[in-house]
Amino acid sequence: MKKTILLIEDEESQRILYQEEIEKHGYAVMTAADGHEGIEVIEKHPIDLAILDIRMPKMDGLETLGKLLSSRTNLPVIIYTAYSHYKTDFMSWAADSYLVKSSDLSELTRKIKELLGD
Amino acid sequence: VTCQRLAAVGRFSASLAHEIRNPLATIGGFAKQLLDLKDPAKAQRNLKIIVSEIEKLEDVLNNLLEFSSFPAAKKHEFLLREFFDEIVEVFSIRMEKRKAVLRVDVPPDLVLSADKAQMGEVMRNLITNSLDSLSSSGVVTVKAWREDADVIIEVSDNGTGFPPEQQKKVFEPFFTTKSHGTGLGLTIVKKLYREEPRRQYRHRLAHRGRNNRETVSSRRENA
Repeated sequence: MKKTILLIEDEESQRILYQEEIEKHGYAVMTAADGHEGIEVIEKHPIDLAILDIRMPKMDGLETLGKLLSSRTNLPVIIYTAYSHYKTDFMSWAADSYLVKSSDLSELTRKIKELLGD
Repeated sequence: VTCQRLAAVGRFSASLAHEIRNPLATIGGFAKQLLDLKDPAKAQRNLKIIVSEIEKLEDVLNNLLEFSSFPAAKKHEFLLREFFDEIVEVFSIRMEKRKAVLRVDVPPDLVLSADKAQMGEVMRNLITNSLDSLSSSGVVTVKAWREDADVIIEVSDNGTGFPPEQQKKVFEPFFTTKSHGTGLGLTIVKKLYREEPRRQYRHRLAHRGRNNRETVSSRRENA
């Protein structure tokens, strides 16, 4: 059975891009357009890893991170953002990895495999 | 003061980097996919996304240029009602898409002496902000009236408004509560109004109320 990754990203075009690229590596991808949706998904589905944008409407990524981890303590989380400076925010340290968005998605897929032991 | 300025420069740079990196990463990602794509429909989709992301980058650049330098105002008198009729036309598609209404309550004979292009820029930013704050089926209202020597223009909406902790930051370059947008709109509005000693810009921001309003006033030349 394929491992499932939850992608929480408010930009539709980026959701499409990341979903397609991650699926090429043999994973199933569920998507959410904001933190609230992401938390609903995690409560209903067995998710193996979450990818999280930081700047999102309604609930930002760091707040979402706290809520995700309070319901699933051991869930591997990758913060994937266009901002580099949130790395210094201790709230982001709760994530397993912090990657800055780039057109080269190999770093993201490599990190997913590493965290899932694939 | 120096520390505050440096901190503002830091926030400015971080936000600018974010505004550029996001579309650039999307353009690069979809362009790389194109290299191996055999499906013409998917290739077409990728191209459309690339074009749309390029437009976002152009918006960032345009706002940045407007923010950094404004040409000197070229004033002339014009009828405000006709001016707003044009604005309604410009916003009609976006309003329809969002099921929102733009109401204009401006006397037909009210004359304003101002740079029409700059005033258009101010109104575009204020109305865009109002529109973006509406949840659904909201109303944006533009009113104008004369108060002694001043012409007052007020843009209000029944959208979400700003939480109190964000109200102090709204004029900071690149501060935005939206997931898209450059965060330069109100900075540009305020700067346009600062350039003109006879103009005033006032704002009253409310949170989740019906009184989110931005007011601008222009004094007649001979007043």
